[in-house]
Amino acid sequence: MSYGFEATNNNNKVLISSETRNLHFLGKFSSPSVSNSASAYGGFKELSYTVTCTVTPVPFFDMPTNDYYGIVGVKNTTGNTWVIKLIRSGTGTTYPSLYVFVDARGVSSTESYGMQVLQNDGSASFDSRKEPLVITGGAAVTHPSNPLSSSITGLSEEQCSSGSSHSQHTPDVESSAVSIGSVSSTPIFHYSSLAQTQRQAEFEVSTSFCVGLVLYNKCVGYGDSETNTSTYWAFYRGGIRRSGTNVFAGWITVDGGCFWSSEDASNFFFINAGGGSGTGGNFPLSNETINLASTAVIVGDGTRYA
Amino acid sequence: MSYGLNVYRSSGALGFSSADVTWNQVDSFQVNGGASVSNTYSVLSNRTVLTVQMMIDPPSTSVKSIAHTVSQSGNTISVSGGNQNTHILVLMQ
Repeated sequence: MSYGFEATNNNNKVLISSETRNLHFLGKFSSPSVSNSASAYGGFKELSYTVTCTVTPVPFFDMPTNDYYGIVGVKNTTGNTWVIKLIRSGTGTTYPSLYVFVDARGVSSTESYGMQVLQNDGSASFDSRKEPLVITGGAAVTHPSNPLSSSITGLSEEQCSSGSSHSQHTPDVESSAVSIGSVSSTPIFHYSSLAQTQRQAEFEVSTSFCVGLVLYNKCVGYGDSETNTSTYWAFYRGGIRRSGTNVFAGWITVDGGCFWSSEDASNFFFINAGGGSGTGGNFPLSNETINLASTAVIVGDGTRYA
Repeated sequence: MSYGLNVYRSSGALGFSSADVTWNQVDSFQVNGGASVSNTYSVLSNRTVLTVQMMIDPPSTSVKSIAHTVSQSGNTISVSGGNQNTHILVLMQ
């Protein structure tokens, strides 16, 4: 830069620059509403936090349990109102606090002294009164391509009658440990959940009988054949969990269901005497994993921003 | 500290220090599904750059919600290929 202000640390990383904007602490939000949930295959909860700010918020969250967490939506709903959505695995009722940072234009302060750095339009780039973001570490995580370690076996072929009470769709694969460096007693994380995957397993059975004679593999008399197919599926989104100074990238089950069909073919002396089929459930992907690109995890110290 | 800069709060607590580490926001912009954006920032020269993508709406469970591909070439950040509306943050240090 040829003019302005720039401060770097002893690793030559920029701390303050009049050409960029530091992030500053807007507030801590601890009472989300539950906007979506499910209980199958480990379950999940989607938590909504409402934030008022004039610029795009950058959310961090703490992880009060060993579950997986991730930010799934940051939306300006009206005026200066934003709704930030976060998902967590499991059905527990312990929810994370959200720590929201914005550039200095979006934070007010009543303190009367400190240090400000302004951009060339006169707006604040840095304001020491507004609790600038300090990070303690970071990492890049990549989710495993398959959330399940074992193939799904032994479920009922008939009209999804195994339901979702089995545990074979419960995710049990995560990345290897990724170090985030030393952490405070309340580390906070910025991580966007982008990765998605779906796993399904199809089970089919055919039965037939003949009242009469079977000649050349054909039923002479009354015959009936039925084919039942059930396709059990679950849909997952990425999440991270922390253990000590490591994070792990795993999966959060956000939906599950089953698709079934039943085809019945009857005949009486080679005349079609009727049949039937039915469906139930739906699924968005088919044994696919998408958005697997490496995702940044930024770590801060929540104790600085109580 | 024996050298550097400490900035204190009115309470006397340390607010910011040249011993700290942070990410500075260079830009924040929205890229809608199906759109592509390419922006160049001279301030990125010789700096460590991090891009963050945040979906605006939670990914649907009924359609494939493809994230954008975000890439850097020199001082240029390019975003394309997604079918979801997202916020893109360009950070540097």
